[in-house]
Amino acid sequence: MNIVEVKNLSKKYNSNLAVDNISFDVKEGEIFGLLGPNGAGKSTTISMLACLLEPTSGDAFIDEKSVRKDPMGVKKVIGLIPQDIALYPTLSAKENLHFWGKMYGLSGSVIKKRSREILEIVGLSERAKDRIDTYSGGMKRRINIAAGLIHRPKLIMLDEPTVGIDPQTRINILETVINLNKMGMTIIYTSHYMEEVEMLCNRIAIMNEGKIIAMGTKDELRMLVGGKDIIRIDATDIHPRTSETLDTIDDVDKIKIIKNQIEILSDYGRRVLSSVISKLNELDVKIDSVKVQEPDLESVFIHLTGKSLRE
Amino acid sequence: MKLINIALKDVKIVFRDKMALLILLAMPFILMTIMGMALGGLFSKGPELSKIDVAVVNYDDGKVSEDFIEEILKGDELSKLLNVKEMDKKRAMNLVRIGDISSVIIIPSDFTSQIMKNKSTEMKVYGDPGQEIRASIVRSITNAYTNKVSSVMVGVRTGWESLTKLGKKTNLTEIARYIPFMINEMIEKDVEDLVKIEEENTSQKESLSSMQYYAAGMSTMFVLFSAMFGADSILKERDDKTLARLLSSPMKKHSVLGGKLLGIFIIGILQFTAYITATKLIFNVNWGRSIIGLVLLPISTVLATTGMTIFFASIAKTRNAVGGISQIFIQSMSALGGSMFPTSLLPPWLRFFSNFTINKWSMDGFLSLMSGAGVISISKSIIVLLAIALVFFILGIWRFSYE
Repeated sequence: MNIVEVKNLSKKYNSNLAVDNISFDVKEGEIFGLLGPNGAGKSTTISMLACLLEPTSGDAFIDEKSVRKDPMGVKKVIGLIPQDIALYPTLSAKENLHFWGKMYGLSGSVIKKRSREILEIVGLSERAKDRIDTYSGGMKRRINIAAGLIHRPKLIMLDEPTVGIDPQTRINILETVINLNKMGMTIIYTSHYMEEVEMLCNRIAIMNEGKIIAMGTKDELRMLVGGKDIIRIDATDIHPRTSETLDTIDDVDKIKIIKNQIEILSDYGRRVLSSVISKLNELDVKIDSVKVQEPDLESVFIHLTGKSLRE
Repeated sequence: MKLINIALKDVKIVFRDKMALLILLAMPFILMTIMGMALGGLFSKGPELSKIDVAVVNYDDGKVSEDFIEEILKGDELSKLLNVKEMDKKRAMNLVRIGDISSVIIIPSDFTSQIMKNKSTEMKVYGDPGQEIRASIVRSITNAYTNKVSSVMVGVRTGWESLTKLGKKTNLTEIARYIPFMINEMIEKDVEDLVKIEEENTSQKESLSSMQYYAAGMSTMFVLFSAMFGADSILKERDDKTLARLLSSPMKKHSVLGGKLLGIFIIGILQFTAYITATKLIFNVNWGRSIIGLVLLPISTVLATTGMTIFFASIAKTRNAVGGISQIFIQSMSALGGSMFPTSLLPPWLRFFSNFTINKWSMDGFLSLMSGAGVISISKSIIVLLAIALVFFILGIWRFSYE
């Protein structure tokens, strides 16, 4: 059953189309990833789903409630965990959780019970009475997630939760996300870190310039590059017969030349590499760099857009 | 209920912010003490810092009433004390009822003619009960004048009777025609007597000390600072994304803003409560006898301040800008509105602008209450403060951006 159904959603700021007619579904119980570089439209999409921004056109349904027509109904079932530490630093973790619980209309006794449970999940029970401004960066991130769980949302939306943090904290957060999912929560996870999305998400939508350019499971997305290795060569003086010459090598399946970059798809990237280089030398092509990439979401993104996720 | 939770959370945050507490609670007392003691001399001549507004309703078109208004009330000596305006009775009574003027002098239509016939006549004085001291000054001046007139008339009659007894036939009406001239002569010699009466009255009334003045002035000024903290808190919520988190909870946008503003309102009321209580206990400041006035005036001042909060938050794009804009507004309002020094020290053209400040109306109200006035006398101050609040709320809510 779908808990999220996004239908032809767009958001326009003056003449800038931040989100361009996107549609996707999220099934109950899955972790759905929105992958894309900065400015791809991921946060704008999340903001529309959290009813913070009104869509310019289209609609989205969360737990069968429209973000346009029933924003209050939507807000009751979602938990937004923003990228920034959206908490009150001079209040303790306990006081913050109490406040956010009250914002969802929970009674004092329910908040008390749930706070205990959530602090246990994020491993901060010992520091519950301390002010947030005395916490380390990682602890702040964890309590930031905890505040989005106090009302037991059906759907959690995490917007780039690991930006600018140390590796240990990142691992903690990713583990927390997996645990929450195991507890039955559906999660939408946005990131421009390909590895995180690959590791966490059951299904992934790749966004670029406001559009969803590919969507599916990890394996389905890898198949977009044929599940093959990519040999990427930066070169100058590329000979007009380069493509034709490389095509004669066994196990070379596909060749694409964009400006000064040659992209070769092969089931055996490393094995054919020496033949590729000798053929290029024969054509007097000047090679600047060579990279063999096994198929991953980064290679899918590059294959689809011609640029890296972090550009 | 959620609205109240937002407000209480903000109050808690302010109480944990040492810098905010220093500015909102400690600073006013430090400044009150310094300015109250340093500028005590400014108030040593007497507590009345502004002129007494008097309306004159003149039904008489004769010389005596004209001389009374032009030569006496508007003369060199009394013009320093009185601000005299002629108007019709209905308007004058209305103004005295709402406390806009202290008293009305009504001159009957036969005032001059009766005096010239050496017959008795009287002027009536109506005073605002809330401005009893000011009204009593006007009453004393009027009485002193009529006493002078009576003594001239008695003198003329006595002179005429004496001449008649001596067998000298003289016409009383003929002599009475010169009474206006005699009154003027007499008043000209003894005008100091009228002013002396005023001074005696002044010394008898409840004296406003410099400490009282600055208790009201600094209290009003530092309540305005809560608007700066409030606006900063709203923009901080926006910058820190707690506003986005609040808006993603099942609450309407205006409820979130309402909670923030309720927090500012509560902080303002707590400030006034602390200021009034502490100045009463520490400096023995007399805030007057009207409990209702002392409740309604702070409420209306804090409402205007709360309106100013959303106005600041709507025109400033960054938290730094809030600091700058607030300082300019608050310092200018305080200087123009009388929080730092009496507005009577300002040139008249600048004094006009004080009418647009929260401080002026709040101070007017507090000083009136301290002088013994009741709630009706400060109704104009309360109405103007509520109007200022309304204007700020409309402008602020109209311009405020949640994104």
